[in-house]
Amino acid sequence: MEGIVLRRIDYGESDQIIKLFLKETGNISAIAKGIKRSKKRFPHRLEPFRVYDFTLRKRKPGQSLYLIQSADQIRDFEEIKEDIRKIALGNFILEILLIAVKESHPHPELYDFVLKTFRNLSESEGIFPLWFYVAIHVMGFLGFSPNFETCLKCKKPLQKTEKNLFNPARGGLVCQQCATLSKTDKTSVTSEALGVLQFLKKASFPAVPRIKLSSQTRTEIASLLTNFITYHLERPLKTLPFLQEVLLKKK
Amino acid sequence: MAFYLLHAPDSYSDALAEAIHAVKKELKLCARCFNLADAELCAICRNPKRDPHVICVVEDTKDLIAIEQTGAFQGLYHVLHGQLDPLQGVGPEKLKIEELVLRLRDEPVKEVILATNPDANGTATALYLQRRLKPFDVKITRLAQGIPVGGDIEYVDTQTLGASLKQRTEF
Ligand SMILES: [Zn+2]
Ligand SMILES: [Zn+2]
Repeated sequence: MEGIVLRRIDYGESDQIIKLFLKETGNISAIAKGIKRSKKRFPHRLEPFRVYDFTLRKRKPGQSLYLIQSADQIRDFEEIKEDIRKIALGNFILEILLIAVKESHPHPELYDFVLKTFRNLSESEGIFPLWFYVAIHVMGFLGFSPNFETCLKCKKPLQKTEKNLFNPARGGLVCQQCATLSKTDKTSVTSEALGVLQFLKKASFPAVPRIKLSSQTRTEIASLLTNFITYHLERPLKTLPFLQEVLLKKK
Repeated sequence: MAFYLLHAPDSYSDALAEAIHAVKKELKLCARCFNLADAELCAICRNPKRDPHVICVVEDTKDLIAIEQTGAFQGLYHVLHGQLDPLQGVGPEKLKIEELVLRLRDEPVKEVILATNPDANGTATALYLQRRLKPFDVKITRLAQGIPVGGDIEYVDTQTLGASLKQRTEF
C-alpha cells in the first residue's frame, strides 16, 4: 500500500511505532519490528519525505496497530532534506496531517496534493508563496476552505480599496460596512495581502512560485493563516515556532 | 564486556571508565562541551594535548564515545544533547546551540565538524547549525559519506567512522 511516513516514535531498544498516511486508507499506526538494529527487513530507516510501498498486516483481529512487513521505497524527495526552510515547511505539513486526518479515513485527493507539494517543495526556491498556498489548500481538503472573495455577512464581492476584516473562526472576511456592526472580527487585511490570498486560492502549483511578496505581506499573511489553522485544528502547532524562526527571522 | 574492552583501543575504555565514574560520583556535565564530567571540565577538555582549534559537534555522549573509539580525532567536542525535532516541538533553544555559538566567539576555533546523525532530524540539525555559524570565520565540515542514511553514528563500525572523519568534506 502506497504511503508516506508522518512520525516515528522509538519503541523499546529496536522497534519504532510509525504513523503512516496511506493513499487508500488515510492515517494508520504501525510497528516496525527490529528497524533500529536489524538490516534484514529494513535495510534503511523509514524517513519522512519519501514514498513507500508498504506491506502491512493486522497484528491481531480487532487491533488497530499494524505490523510493517516490508517497505519498498518508490520515491525520495531528497532536495527537501538539503534546505532547512524546506524541512521546516515539510514538517508543518506533516503535523497538520497528523492532527487532522482521522485513522482509517481515506483522503486520496489530499494524498495526491501532499505528494505534489513535496515535489514542488523539492524543486522550488519560492518558499513563502508555497507555504501559504499549501496551508490554504490542505485546510480546504480537510473541510475548512477559506473564502477570500465575498463578505461573510452581506455576500457582496470584497473591495480591495476598503478595510476588510478577517475572522479566523469563520474562515473569511467581512467588508467595511458590515464590520462596523460587529466586534468579533478584528484583524484587518491589507489590499496587497487580500490580492495574494485571492490569487493563491484559485491558482495551480505552477503559478505559485511566480508570486513576489514584500516582507510586510509575508508577515501579515503568515499571521492570518496561522490564526486560521490554529483555530480550526484547535491547538497551537508544534512545528510553527521553528518554521517562523527559519523563514521570518532576519539572519 | 571485558572481552570487548580487551580489544578496544585505550581511548574507548578510558572514555567508558570516565563515563561510569561520572555516573557513580554524581552526574555532571562539562561546563564547556557538555560531555559527562567528574569535575568542572571533562577529561577531554582538561587534556592539554587536545587541539582546541577543531570542535566536533555530536548529538549525545554515546556518539562522542563512538568517535573517541576511532582514535582519529584529536580536537575538542560539543555535545548538543539531542537533535532538532520540529514535530515534537524540539527547537534550537532546547539544544546546547547558544553555548556552541558562545564558544566560537570566545575560543580559537578554526574548524567545526558537524557529526550529527545522517537521518532527517540530524541533517536538519546540521543545516540549522551551518546557518547559525555562518557569520563566524570558521570552516564547517561534515562527516564523509559511508554512514548509511538514516543510520546512527553510535552503531557505525569504528573503521568506517574513522575513515569518514578523516575524509570529512566542507559543508
Ligand atoms: Zn458586507
Ligand atoms: Zn568538556
